[in-house]
Amino acid sequence: MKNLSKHRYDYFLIWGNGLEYRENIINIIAECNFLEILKITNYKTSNIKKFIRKVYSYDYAPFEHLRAKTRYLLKSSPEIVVIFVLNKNPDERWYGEGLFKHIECMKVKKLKEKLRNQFNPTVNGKRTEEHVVHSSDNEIQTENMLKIMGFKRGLDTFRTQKHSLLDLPYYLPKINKFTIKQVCMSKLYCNVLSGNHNEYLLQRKPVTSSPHYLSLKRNDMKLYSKYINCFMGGPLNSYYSVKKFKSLIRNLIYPNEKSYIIVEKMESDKFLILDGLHRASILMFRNKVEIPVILVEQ
Amino acid sequence: MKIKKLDLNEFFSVLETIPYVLVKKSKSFPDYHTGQDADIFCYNKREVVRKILGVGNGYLSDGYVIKTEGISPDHCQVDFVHNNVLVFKFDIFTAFPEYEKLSIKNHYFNSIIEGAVGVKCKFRDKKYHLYVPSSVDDLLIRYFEYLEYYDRRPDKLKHLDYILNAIEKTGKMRIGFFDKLHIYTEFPESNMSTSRYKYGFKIKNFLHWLVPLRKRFESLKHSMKFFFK
Repeated sequence: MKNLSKHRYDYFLIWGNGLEYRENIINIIAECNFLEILKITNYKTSNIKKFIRKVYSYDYAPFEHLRAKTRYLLKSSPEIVVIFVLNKNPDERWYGEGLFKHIECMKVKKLKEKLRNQFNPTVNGKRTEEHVVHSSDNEIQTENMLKIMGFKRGLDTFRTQKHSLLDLPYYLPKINKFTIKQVCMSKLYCNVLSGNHNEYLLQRKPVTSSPHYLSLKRNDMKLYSKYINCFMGGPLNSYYSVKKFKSLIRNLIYPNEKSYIIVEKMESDKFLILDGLHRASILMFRNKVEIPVILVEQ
Repeated sequence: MKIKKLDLNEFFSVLETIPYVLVKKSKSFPDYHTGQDADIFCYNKREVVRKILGVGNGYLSDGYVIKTEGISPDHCQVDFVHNNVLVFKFDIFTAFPEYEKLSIKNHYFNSIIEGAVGVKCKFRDKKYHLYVPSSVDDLLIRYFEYLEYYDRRPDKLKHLDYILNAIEKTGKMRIGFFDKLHIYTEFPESNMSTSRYKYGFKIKNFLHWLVPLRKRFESLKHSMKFFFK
């Protein structure tokens, strides 16, 4: 069997009964080389029954077949976490029989089973079928899930930079005109969150006041860890981890023509970082005085 | 203050691994005058831009600013600016620019890249190949420019002199030039098919019918007026 497409978008959903393993599950997904976490979204529903129906509306089996299988979810918390990923090397194959025959990525299926084996509740040492994780079989399901989460553009949410001259994160608008110039590190500002997951405040501060830089300066990753655990899935919807940050600290080579720190101009010759706060913090910690950045033209 | 010169050999040595051609290479290459540009034809403009930026990073500390702009899906520009003065421009194309006066078949663009000729150059004592179009392709590209702009930009007349000089030298070149010209170009679509013409024609046609109708209506109105009097 050969792959039918070069890459595709998938998602993993952590049901309420698996939220206690949230961090572990996200880290296992992040460690898979064929996946790149694009977005983590927390979602609270007022009607879990309706939500389950929506999630399974693009499934191959009619919902009547799934009703018994999903009954346990009605008792679980109405909170869920959805992790959208870029599947860089899907292994798509036909799966199932007769009416329910469909194409699935074997790698995603294998990972889902691994997570279920590890985190599903057990009875007498045996795994139950009360799944903590659900995943997509195809991109249509991912599109549907994005729309349920309120991203009306569906998969186009991730495809904004398709024709851009540089590799840019999906959450930035398409940048067609930019200037690369040297700027003084002391003129770089960033958005820092304060408060809690549900009620937070965004403040503009110099890079030296960010939890990223302070963790490096104090040689204490707890500050950074606390910050990302507090806001990831909410206002911070990319994937961050201490491990990932430490790896960046070791391997960062900057400037790099593939990835620049992206800034926009604030008042009086100050620049706000739109993408690259981690890199800026590391460079600041390395005592760099000036660095090249991409200045986005308004 | 003296501006540090860009070393064009450095830029083109890193492009050696990807398919491209430097079109209308100036005789003074790698030297250039302020404001000069280099037209590059390639398949993947992202890759070319990345390579140029990779080298360009080294000039930022000398006061250069690099301005990049996507002009169209097939055209982007990378400008090296110093103290608000354009020093050098890279014009990167992934298809022929839109010409008004002639129509060039799309696959000629690929043919130019595939038929590229490597010119031996040196960057820091290391040899590399600079890729330029074959001599016939070079003449044709200059001819296209001449045809498109001779009435608007007198500086493009230089292309015609260049072509005539080259063609007169060998008969083989002349045959190749006309062969390719006839294979890869065609007359642009006639104005008759443009929407402006079509709608203009429709309006004219409508007016043509409207005038007699109006006359008939006037006479009918007149006779009715007479009848009801």
